[in-house]
Amino acid sequence: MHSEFYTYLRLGWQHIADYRAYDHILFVIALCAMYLPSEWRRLLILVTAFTIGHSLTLALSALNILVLPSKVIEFLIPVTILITALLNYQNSKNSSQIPIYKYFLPLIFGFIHGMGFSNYFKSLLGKEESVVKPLFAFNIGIEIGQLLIVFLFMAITYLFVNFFKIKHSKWSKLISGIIVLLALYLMWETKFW
Amino acid sequence: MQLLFTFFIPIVSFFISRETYLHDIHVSKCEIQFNEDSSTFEIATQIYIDDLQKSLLGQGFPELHLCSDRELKNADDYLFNYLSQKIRLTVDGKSLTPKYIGKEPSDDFIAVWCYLEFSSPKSFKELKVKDEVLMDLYDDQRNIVNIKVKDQKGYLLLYSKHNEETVKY
Repeated sequence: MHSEFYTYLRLGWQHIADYRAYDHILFVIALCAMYLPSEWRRLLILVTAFTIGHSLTLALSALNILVLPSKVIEFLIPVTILITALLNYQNSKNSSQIPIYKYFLPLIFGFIHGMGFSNYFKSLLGKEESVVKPLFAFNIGIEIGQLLIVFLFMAITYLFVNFFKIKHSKWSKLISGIIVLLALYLMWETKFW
Repeated sequence: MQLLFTFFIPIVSFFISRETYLHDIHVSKCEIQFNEDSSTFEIATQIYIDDLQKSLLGQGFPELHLCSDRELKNADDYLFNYLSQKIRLTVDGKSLTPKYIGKEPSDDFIAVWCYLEFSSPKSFKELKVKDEVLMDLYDDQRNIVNIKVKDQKGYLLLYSKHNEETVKY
């Protein structure tokens, strides 16, 4: 038997690492695509901003404070992926300087992703003695899952840039392009009108 | 560059071929409490209604219209039949017989709480819990089992490749 914390943590990280829920994976990769493994500190901040964002709205909707129609959220999630990937084509010449809004975008986009899984999650917590602890554990699990994706993607980037000698700017444009296509496809699939 | 594309196109088409990307969380919850006075395991399990009905249909049960005004008269019999196949308790190697207590919808009518009881010997050394509710429907189904026996509390996370676990006392 395990503790409540560990159980919900595992649920969170398995949920993120599941390729069937690949919208989160796409978002995290879109966020990473511009950076080199050596810029890992910046990535850690970006991914954590995203986690803080979705933890907040997941909590708010789990507690029934903020509830938006899930059909709208399901459409907005690929929109956030699209914007993040498109922004990778901007000012790629000077990646050492990152505009401040780039740190806020993952936070705001996190709000949208958080509302995505809360509809299902909240009714499960109905009779739990405390909602806060499983929610917290679930979010920590999600963060671990995301960092794992960052790590794997950075390892692949390293491989392509250092061994196959592909220019990093080309690599990040190629990855972002694939993500743009997938995001457009997901938007088409989830259009609610 | 060409090589890259021949490498990536299969990956992209793999993602697109998945029937749906939507990340519903497939989870049910089961609370097991041992009542020492009556020497029974009291089970309360929460399952999403629409998933449950899909699973029931897939197992050859009729459409039950659970928790609606169209609910079948003998819906509880069918539900008990289903649950007794999916949730099993074994104590020291001996399989326990379930008894149906009832059901009630959750406040938002998204899920249903089902109540079962299993009579058990008063003392035991190990308890095996199997909960494969909805696992026929989704291969990423996760069932969280919360067990309270005397002062020992803990959780199990069951999934299709690991649908039962034994707890020692």
